[in-house]
Amino acid sequence: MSNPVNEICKILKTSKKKLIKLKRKSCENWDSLAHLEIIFIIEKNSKKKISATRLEKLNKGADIINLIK
Amino acid sequence: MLLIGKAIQLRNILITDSKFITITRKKKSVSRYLNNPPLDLNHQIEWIKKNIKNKETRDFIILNKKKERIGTIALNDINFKKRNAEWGRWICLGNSYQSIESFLLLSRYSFYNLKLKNIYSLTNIKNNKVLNFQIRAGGKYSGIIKNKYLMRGKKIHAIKYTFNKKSYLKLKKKIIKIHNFNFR
Repeated sequence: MSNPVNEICKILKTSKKKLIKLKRKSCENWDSLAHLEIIFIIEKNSKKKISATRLEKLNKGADIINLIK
Repeated sequence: MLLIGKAIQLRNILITDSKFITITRKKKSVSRYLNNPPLDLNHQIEWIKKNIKNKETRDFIILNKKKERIGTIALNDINFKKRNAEWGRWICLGNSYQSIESFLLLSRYSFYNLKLKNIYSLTNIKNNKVLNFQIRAGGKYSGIIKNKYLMRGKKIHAIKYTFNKKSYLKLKKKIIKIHNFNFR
């Protein structure tokens, strides 16, 4: 299984270093479809379901990295 | 007309939607890339009245499961001879899944109900987030339309992306895979 952080970086066209500071609002590659792909990777990795309410609150790279850890 | 999805529904626009549309289109986050924001409520009412009669447009309101209005999406310049239409007026205040499902429902309606061959978007060249969505969703780059929009006195180019039944089915398959995982 490939590294989930690498997969997310590929989707957002960014580096691991930049991901931690990334915000959805200011990232042009973080569109709605990219967001669902990211959530899918997190769920697949953590084997936990992310609720629809929480879905839109995950707007920072740092939050995503924390969920994967 | 009611198009039913898993997280949203699309229904035909009504004059009673005027207030919602006016308020929504005036939101700063929404109006940034709108080439023609509504002036006021009366203007919006007149616009809806005109559009309801227009056979070349189909304007929909996006409703969530509670039947609350969360956005708009539309087909414009429907050409039954060429079997194509422009899709747009896409504003969704819901979550990412609801946004994408609204596009999927509109696509299904276009390709199966109206039997169109393709639908295209004309996106402000500076609206990178939406342009990225078009690429990710399988849209085919179809050129630049120069000076398409006039925004704050400046002429802005638009980028055209075209979608067909094949790209719709591919996106739908992708979303079903994610949906099954997320919204069981």
